[in-house]
Amino acid sequence: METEDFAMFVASQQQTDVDTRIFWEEQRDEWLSALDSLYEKIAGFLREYIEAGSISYDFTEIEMNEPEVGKYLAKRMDIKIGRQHVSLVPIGTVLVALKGRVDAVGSAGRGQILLVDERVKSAADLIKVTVNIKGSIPSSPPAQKPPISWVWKILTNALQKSFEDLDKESFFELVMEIANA
Amino acid sequence: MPSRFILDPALQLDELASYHQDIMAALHIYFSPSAPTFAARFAGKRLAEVDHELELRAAESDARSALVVLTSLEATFQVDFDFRRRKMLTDPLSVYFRELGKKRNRVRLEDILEGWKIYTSAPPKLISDLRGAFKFRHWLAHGRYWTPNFGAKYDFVNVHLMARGVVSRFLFAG
Repeated sequence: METEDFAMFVASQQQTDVDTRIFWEEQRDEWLSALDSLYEKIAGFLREYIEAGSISYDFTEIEMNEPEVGKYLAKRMDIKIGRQHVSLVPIGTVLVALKGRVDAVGSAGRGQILLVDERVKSAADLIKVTVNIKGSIPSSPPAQKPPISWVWKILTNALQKSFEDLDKESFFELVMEIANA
Repeated sequence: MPSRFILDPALQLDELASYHQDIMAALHIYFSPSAPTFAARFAGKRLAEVDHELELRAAESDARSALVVLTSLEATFQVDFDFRRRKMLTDPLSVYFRELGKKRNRVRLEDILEGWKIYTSAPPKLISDLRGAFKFRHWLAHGRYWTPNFGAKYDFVNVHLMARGVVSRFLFAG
């Protein structure tokens, strides 16, 4: 009996291992796809400057290594604005509460562009409280939560952690801040 | 003659150990994914970054707790010094302290420790350890702006054990 139980346990763990691997592969692919979207969006913000020849950019593949996901390649975007350089460095997808993070690195500092649940406006929205009633956790409400839609936002206040929608204006503000403009 | 100085009960060694344990436990809970504020506080961090931050916080809290133990110990020596000086006790240490008090308005802890070394049977090794630990306390209390070269490793556990040894083996008056 014990041998059978053990065999079932071993078999269930194999399945779990496969499921986990598939989950993380999907997570990695979604993150890389979102990264491409981010770079497309930013190239769009910069289009008029690129066409005028005042800004240029290129990509370098860098090796990532994250727990669970393992090693993979991701693109870093290097933006040249005259003598200034701003790099958008992918940090990863195995993160607390978020699906992805890209650090914007300039000569005067760095900022963060985050792949966040679109409903989240600040870190305070991520606080979760579970109430126990007489030692047991109340069952969740039956209504299904809508699936999360992940969007790119800029971290605007490092202390209070506010997330501002990524648009042309917020991106330019970030670039000027980290490039000492 | 009423005592001019009193030792703060909040700085008793048992209380300091209990406080330190609570702070460390609270830190570990705050940095664990089960904390309600975990996602908000660490949004966008890798778990390795969270662990690193916890290590830094724990090390800082440890140093601060050790500092408070040493300030408490210093207060114990100063209160004892004051008591012996004013009570006109005739033991060699009290006589030495009275002479010391006449020479200087402000007596350094180093001189008090020297008195204990010369005029009592307090273990010399413990006095030597104390001197080292007070250099650590001095470095902490003065903003750590120089690179120290301590001969020993100081943390809360070491310093607290040493303080216990001092309190049990030094015959403080008052």
